[in-house]
Amino acid sequence: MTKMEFIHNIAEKSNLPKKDATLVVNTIFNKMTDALVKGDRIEIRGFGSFSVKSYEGYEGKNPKTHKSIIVQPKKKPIFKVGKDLKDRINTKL
Amino acid sequence: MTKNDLIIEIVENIGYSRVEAQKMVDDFFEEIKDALIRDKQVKISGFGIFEIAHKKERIGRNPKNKVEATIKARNVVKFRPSNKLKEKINY
Repeated sequence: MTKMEFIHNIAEKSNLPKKDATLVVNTIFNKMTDALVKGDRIEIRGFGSFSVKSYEGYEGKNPKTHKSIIVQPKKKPIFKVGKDLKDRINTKL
Repeated sequence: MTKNDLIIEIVENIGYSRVEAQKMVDDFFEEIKDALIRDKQVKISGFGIFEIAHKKERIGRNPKNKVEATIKARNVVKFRPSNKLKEKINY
């Protein structure tokens, strides 16, 4: 499912004009992006949570050329699945 | 940040009522969940990809007492952040 299809489904589910569904979907993803940029945690009950993990820089080596390179410190968003979703994707096992 | 912050954002920026915004936010996450439950990938450009990874049964070890135990086959949700999101977070 792409973002376009997602917006289409939200328009039907929430009974919204396509224009408004687009606005709603963009508003939610933008707000979530802003929170992660600020380093905030996002917690959606039943769905999951997002947090930002910081990694330290380190000196790495290209295994082929043995040249050492400096890997800069970086941050990565992490998603942890919520209980309801976790249970529901495992019912058909 | 919680659902409530998203609801407030919709009320203030788009002008829907609180009750309407609440349903929209619930529908939003239900829609992603429904797709994942049907094993469908959800690809949001500029944000990331949600998908199901099917983990096979394997033998694991309790790292504390080294006792072996079978870890049953299970499904997990994977989120892969888009490059755009990673760039914004690392800016």
